[in-house]
Amino acid sequence: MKNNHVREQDLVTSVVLFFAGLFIFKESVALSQISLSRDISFWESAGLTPGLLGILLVFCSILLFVQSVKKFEKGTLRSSMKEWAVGLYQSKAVRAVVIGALIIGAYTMILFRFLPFWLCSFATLVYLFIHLKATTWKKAAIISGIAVGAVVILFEYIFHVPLP
Amino acid sequence: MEYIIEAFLIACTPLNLLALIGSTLLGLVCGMLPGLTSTMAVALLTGLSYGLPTQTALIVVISVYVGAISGGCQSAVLLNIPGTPASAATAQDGYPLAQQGKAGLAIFLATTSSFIATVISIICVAAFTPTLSAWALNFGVYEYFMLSFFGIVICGNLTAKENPLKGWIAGFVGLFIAQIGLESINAIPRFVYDNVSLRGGIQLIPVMIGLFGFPEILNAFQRSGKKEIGELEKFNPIEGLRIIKNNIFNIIRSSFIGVSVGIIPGVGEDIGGWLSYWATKSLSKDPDSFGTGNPAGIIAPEAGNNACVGGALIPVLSLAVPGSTSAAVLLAAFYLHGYLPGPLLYTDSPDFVYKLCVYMVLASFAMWALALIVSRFSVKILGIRAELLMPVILMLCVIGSYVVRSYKFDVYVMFVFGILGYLMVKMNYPAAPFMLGVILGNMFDSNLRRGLLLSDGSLLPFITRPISAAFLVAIVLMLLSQLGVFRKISAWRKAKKAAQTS
Repeated sequence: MKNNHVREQDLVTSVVLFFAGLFIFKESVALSQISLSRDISFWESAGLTPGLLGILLVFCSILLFVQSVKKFEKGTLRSSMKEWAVGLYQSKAVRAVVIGALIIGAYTMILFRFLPFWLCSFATLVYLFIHLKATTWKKAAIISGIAVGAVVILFEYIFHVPLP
Repeated sequence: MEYIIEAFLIACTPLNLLALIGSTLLGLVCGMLPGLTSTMAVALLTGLSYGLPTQTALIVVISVYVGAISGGCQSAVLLNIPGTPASAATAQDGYPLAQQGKAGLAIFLATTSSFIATVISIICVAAFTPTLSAWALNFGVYEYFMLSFFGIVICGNLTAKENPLKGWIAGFVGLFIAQIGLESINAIPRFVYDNVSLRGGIQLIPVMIGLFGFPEILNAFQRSGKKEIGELEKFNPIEGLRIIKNNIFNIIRSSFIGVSVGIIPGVGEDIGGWLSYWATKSLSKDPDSFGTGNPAGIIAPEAGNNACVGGALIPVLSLAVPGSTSAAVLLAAFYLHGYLPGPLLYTDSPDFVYKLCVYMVLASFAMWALALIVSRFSVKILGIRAELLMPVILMLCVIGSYVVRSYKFDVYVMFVFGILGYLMVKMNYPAAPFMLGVILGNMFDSNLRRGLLLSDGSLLPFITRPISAAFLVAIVLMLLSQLGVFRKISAWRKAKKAAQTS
């Protein structure tokens, strides 16, 4: 699928990367100070490489910013950005992906932490099949049961890898 | 010879034979299904095979790689949708041939040329890797630093679709991710913020699974719909073999193109396929027949993309710089199983390259035989909808990330990098230089600091040592050319000349 909003996306990412680069550089200065306080030379200090990468990121983000601003026609930057942001907010595809990410996030970050693997995986699989309208709930339960069962048998009993 | 026989005997044990056939089959199915890439298949299997004995795990990752690259041709022929980007060129003539009622023949030609090309590329691996490794023995800390920097820059250049700057940014962010955790020289924690889990650094496998597996799972939330799949008719294998015989020079030429493309860091199998297709079409007496179901148009791209498998392994094994995204994932798999590719590989593990070659030959033979059997069921396999497949893949991603260290934190890492991977895909940032950055991060950092320590802070050795200087010149030229500096200088000169003449 063709991405029609590259310039808007580049503008936003260039700003994010600029601040990320600055943050990395600031942290690298602190790391270098820790190294210097332990009598480690500057060339060997822990902050040298992150500092260099921070500078490279800042430099690249400025270039990207300039490149993307040049792609806008004069006086259209603000309106184009607004149009893109509104389109993003109203997009059904974006909403579907955000919901998908939330479901997967709930599975990996919450359910996986507190429930046994087989239970959280079974519940998530059944829910995902129904949410994606892949099949009926009865078939979803059967497929999920077989998939989770196969994984548990393969790893727990054949590979002897303990599952959470 | 001793190593080759040993490798053959290892591969022939019941467990390894089962692993070889099972993984090749899995690779074929992954390659066949649009949305499941070879990189994703290797990344997933690397995590899942962690608990297996080392040689078995190697057989698994190699077999799945060989199978996945080849499997893409089946959906390219039957659906006109390449299962992997590597098979994009195959669809040009494969699908028209299928529409003429010769889908079976098209798959036979694609699979047989894939098999022959893989074997040729493996011969190249065995022939060129020792030479390149011997040359790389001259590398010191300065050369290693420059090599890692060069790898990031060239990978960024070649994988970013329209803007190499984005490829470099992805590579630099990857290098930064590798800096998280205890640093290698003085064990000072970096970017850890009192999080005990971060002290050990970010693990490769969860990053890899997140970057390459997760975006496709999220995409399943966006798309739906049924696919139109063609029917598979019976064909005469003798006719297929005759076409292969007539195209043997085409296969050899495409194989060498594929190997050459594979060696270049960051250039994927898809380029190998397209270049071979283009070369065959250009040299053909009947170029107009291409795109209408010319068998040479199926044989060339399939030989080209499969030869990249071996080509991409040459820099991985000799320099520890991957030739493609899938090879980057393979490099991580080798590290995970205790092998350290690079100039010292022949000293530390002299048998490794030969074992790998034997496993690849066996995997490619298994791929050939299985692909012909599987092609009978291709129509059914291709009918599986992403909505049914992706939730199961999600569970495998979680398991793959978890089993390496049996640590729940790695699953959270997979999720975070999965979201990042999805955003990168949507914003046209290539994932390959990012992954390469994470792999080469430690090499980049430790060699830079050791080099500066040895030279007492002087940058001169980076410039005065010949190999290091050559890398530096290549990096500078690449950066300047991609930023359009040469174009601007040329335009400025032309304008100056025009002003002088007027």
